[in-house]
Amino acid sequence: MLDIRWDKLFPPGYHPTKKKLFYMKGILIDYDDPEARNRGFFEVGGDISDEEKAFGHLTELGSAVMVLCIFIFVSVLWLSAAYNLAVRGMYSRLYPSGEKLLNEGFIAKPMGFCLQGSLRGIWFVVVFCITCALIHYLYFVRSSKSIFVMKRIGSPFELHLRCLGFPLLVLAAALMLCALMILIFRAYYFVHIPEQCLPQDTSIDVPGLFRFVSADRLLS
Amino acid sequence: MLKIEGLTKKYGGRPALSDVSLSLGPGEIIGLFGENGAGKTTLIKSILQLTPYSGSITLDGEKITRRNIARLSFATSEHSFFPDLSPAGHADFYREHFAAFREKRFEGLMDFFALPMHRRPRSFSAGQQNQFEIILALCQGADYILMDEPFAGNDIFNREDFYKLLAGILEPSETVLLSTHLIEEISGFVGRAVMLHRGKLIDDVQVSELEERGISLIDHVKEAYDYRGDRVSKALDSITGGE
Repeated sequence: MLDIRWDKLFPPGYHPTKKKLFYMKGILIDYDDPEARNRGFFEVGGDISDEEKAFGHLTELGSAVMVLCIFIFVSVLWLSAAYNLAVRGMYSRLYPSGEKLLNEGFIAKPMGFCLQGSLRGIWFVVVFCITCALIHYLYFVRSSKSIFVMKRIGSPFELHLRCLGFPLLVLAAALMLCALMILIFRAYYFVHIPEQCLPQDTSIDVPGLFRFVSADRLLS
Repeated sequence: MLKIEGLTKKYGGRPALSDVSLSLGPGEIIGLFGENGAGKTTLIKSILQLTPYSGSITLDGEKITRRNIARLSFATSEHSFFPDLSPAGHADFYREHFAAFREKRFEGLMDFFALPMHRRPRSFSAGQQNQFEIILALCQGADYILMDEPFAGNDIFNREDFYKLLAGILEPSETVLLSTHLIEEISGFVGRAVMLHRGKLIDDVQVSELEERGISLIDHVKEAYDYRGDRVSKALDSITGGE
């Protein structure tokens, strides 16, 4: 049976709150060799120690929280744009009072259409998760070949759980946030659009939420 | 009994091992010798199922799978410990995953080599890392302990200590296959010598047999490899023009 504890979601000895994630050396992410970190990316003799003090505490766990926050922020922007698209032309404003008047016969755009691509920010989270998984797998072959030990233990899942566990947890959190944001959007859509203006089709095209669509659509 | 039959391995068409057959019985200490590129590491990695091969390798008649691979342990000069996991953490990990983990032996050896229990192995010296690698292989609780150049980087005193310790702590059921170039050093420690040359098994001899014949292990190895003692002087002559 799978024993899923928090520490089992990471390679043995790996500290998600102590590791530095975003130091790139070539195509590898090198967070252990300060000499190597300083070499190659900066002017000769350049020192990144000051930057390190400010950003060095950006850990894998902290990075995950940050990535999810950015995802929420971007998604909320897209969802607001989607709502504006749905209700564009619903009201006319009377001059000079500024009073809003519901346009007769107005039908809001269907949710499925407006929401297209509004959660595309998930791909940012996916890229983050793939990077995390890659770093975890690399842990077993860099510095030492601890992969040899992982291949001698009884459970064939242990290695993959320790490499994919945390990234999948982050992805699951992102998907839950998606569900939550869509539920809130749906509730807002039904509460704020008068019943006579609701379209017949109120279904949501789930794959369409994550599709890349042109921003020009918002102006159509 | 660890039985290897017709083991063949090629790297991109180039043979690394050709039809190697070998049996390792319980309680044996076997030296595995060969020049660089002879196939020693490939042989060990094949036994551990770390590389694909053709032929058959069985452990007491069964294929080596996840079910029985814990009966094999491995110490390598590449190191296979977790670089950021303290020795105490390793003990926990091994206890959890290897039912036969030898706790008492682990503590005894850590104590003997004065290795810190709560520091990351990444911060150990090269010699300490080798010691820790060997300690883990010895303490996993395996019946077959495979070692590939485990002493590279250790000083002579450390190596001597290890030979003595190994001879003292191994149980009759534990088998050691030790791949090394330090033939003279381990001649008093191994009971059998297996020699590979260009991927082929060229000799498999009991050290006691050699002793009876009055031949030292190093002389036998030189003979097996057709080592020409005069080749250095000939080369020097040709380079310097016999000056």
